[in-house]
Amino acid sequence: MIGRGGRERRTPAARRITRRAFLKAGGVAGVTAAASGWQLQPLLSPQITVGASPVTLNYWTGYPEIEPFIKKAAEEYAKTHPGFRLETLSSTLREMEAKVSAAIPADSGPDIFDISRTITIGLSDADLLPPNPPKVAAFVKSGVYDQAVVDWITWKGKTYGIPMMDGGRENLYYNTKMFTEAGLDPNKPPATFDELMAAARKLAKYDSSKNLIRSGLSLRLSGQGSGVADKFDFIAYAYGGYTIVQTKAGKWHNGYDNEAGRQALKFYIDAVHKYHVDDPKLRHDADAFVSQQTAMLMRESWVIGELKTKGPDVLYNTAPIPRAKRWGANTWPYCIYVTRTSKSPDIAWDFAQFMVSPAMQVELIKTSGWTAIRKDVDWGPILRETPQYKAFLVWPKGRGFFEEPPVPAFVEVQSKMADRLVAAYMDKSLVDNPDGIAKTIHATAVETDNILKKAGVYGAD
Amino acid sequence: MGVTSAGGELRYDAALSAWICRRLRISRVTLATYVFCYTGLAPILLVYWILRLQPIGRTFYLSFYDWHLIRPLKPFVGLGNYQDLLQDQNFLGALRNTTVFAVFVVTISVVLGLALAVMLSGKLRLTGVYQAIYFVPVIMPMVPMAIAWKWIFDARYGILNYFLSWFGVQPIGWLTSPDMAMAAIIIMSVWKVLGYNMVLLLVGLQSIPTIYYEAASIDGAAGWAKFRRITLPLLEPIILFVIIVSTINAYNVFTQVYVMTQGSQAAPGGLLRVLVFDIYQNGFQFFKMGFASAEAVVLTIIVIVLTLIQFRVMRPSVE
Repeated sequence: MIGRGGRERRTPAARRITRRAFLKAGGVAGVTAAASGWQLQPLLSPQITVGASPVTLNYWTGYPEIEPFIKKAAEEYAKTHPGFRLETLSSTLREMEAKVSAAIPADSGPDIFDISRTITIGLSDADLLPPNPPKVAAFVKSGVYDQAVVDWITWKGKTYGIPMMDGGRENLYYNTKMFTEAGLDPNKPPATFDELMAAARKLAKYDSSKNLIRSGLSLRLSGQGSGVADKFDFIAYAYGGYTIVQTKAGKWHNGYDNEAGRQALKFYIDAVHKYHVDDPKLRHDADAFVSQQTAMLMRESWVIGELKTKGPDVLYNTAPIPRAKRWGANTWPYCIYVTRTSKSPDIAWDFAQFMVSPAMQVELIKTSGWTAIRKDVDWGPILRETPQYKAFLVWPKGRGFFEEPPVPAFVEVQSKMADRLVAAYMDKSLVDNPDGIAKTIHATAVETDNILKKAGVYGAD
Repeated sequence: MGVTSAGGELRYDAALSAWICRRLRISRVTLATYVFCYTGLAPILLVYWILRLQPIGRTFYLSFYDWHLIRPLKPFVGLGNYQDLLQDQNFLGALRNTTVFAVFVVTISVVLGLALAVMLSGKLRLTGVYQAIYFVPVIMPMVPMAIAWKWIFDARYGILNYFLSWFGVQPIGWLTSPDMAMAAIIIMSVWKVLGYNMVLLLVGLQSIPTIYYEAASIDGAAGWAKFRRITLPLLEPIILFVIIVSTINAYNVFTQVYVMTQGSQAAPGGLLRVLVFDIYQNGFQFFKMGFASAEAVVLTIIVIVLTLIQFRVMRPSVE
């Protein structure tokens, strides 16, 4: 029937046929589904079914070196969940932080991502990031993680994300061959910072013009960004300080305008200028240790992965970072999150949980070198294969953890602190100059407090 | 006035166009030409509006707010961000560094570019090859070039220190030394823009009619006098253009500084802080978009003012 304007109009009979056809199609679909085995799934089964239609999820990571692990996990997951596919995108952590911070508020983010807590706190606060669903919350609290880790992911009474790895847990790498050559016992790594400096002096090598050609200890002396301040904290923490500390009222202020901060800066100044066991002109960091241009380095576990691929001949061991007043290492639980706009949140959460299964935790270490974070996994096979992981996986009694404060302005605090520290490390006038060191530390700390004031989180005891 | 039929629309259009022509005092043909041109330009103008004007306007707008990327509350702070800028040591340091960088890069690259252009405008063999060699850095992408220069400047393995060692110079920490880091970035940046300036100045030189030089020769003028009395005055419009473009580019320096301050073997970030880097860090690392926008506005104003000054200084002789 043709109506005005040339449009086809359906008669009531036609509409009835359509409705009938629709009901018939639905019935056929139901029968087919039942026949294909859907009816065997319990109605409230906790197991996630990808089902007949394929599911493709997106995953963003701020650690390019774990991307192979993520892909491997997706392959393994797809074996039991046919139709599951994962597309990954990786970039450096800082770039990913910016990307996530722009994308999540605009609801244009991925299904799953991993990122540092300084970002997710802001997102959680603004209700832009969903807390863990009940099943996941129960899992993270089930005893598979240290309570410190659970506390770390808890924000205003709710848990956010599933901890996958520890981006902290720095330890001392030392070249055992160089130790032996220098007359040091490779089975007795330095236990205090005085011993560390003494060992560095014995291990440093100079040419005929007294130019340093091999550093005794490779410190982070240059560049920019929070990494510089992180490494300063390895020493400041041991002496009893830290970048920022919390008051009883829950506010924050600098924690290094004190003897600890001054000791830490003095250690750097002595290492560079007084004893000349390190020099900014030399190669640094993992590059230096892998190419045997330094004898000692304080770093996270990923360096073991670097050594396996780039320096298989290097003879080395690891040990806890020395102690002073305190003994500990930074813990930085790095978590997996699911966005509120995920196409399939149930599958996304299930996959995220699969990524931290015991088998995948072992796979994470093997693939990336980063330290897995669950405490209920048998690390025996890993330790037999690579004993250097012991310092990262087996925590001795008396050695504690210190954690990054849940303050979004912390990145700014560390970045600006780093700029001042790098300038101070190059300042020869600070040698045997306690007043100069105190002034430098004080000026840096004032800036830290000003940033906290501006962010509205400053408070003094 | 309603339009109810096709015929009515035609009548309406005719009346409207007649009314416009009367108001603008133009013929119907001219009006049709305008309509055609603006219709053709509309898509481009729309893109320009979306990609250029709207973001610039938005930057001005954000600069009056405490606009944090994640925080839901973004209060209006008026000139608060601008007041903070005046007390922010990072911004003031970045402004100082950027100005030092711009003065040296613009001066060296224009003077050297002019010298090269003069040399290559003569009757040299393989002039085209030399021009191409000097122009190659311009077309090379900045990031890989900055990484390559990071290695060239490396204190231990860098080729620069290796050459200097032939003359008994001790290894210099080009990037890690507070005294040398800025010099290293300037050297790299001059290398990158030199070819561009040279080509522009060369085109300017070649457009100067030879008749002036012939007349000067008859009057007994020699090389330097010809250069000072003929070449420089006639080249001033090009030199002005080169200086303006170089200044704008120098104040926008970012990539090479960013690359060379990344990692453990990098230049000290604080000592090399430049304006765009500070804007990037405040905006995309600390998420303080309002504050970063205020910095961007100040940078825009600085560049506009400098450009106007350059026009003013060079205008009398250019005209």
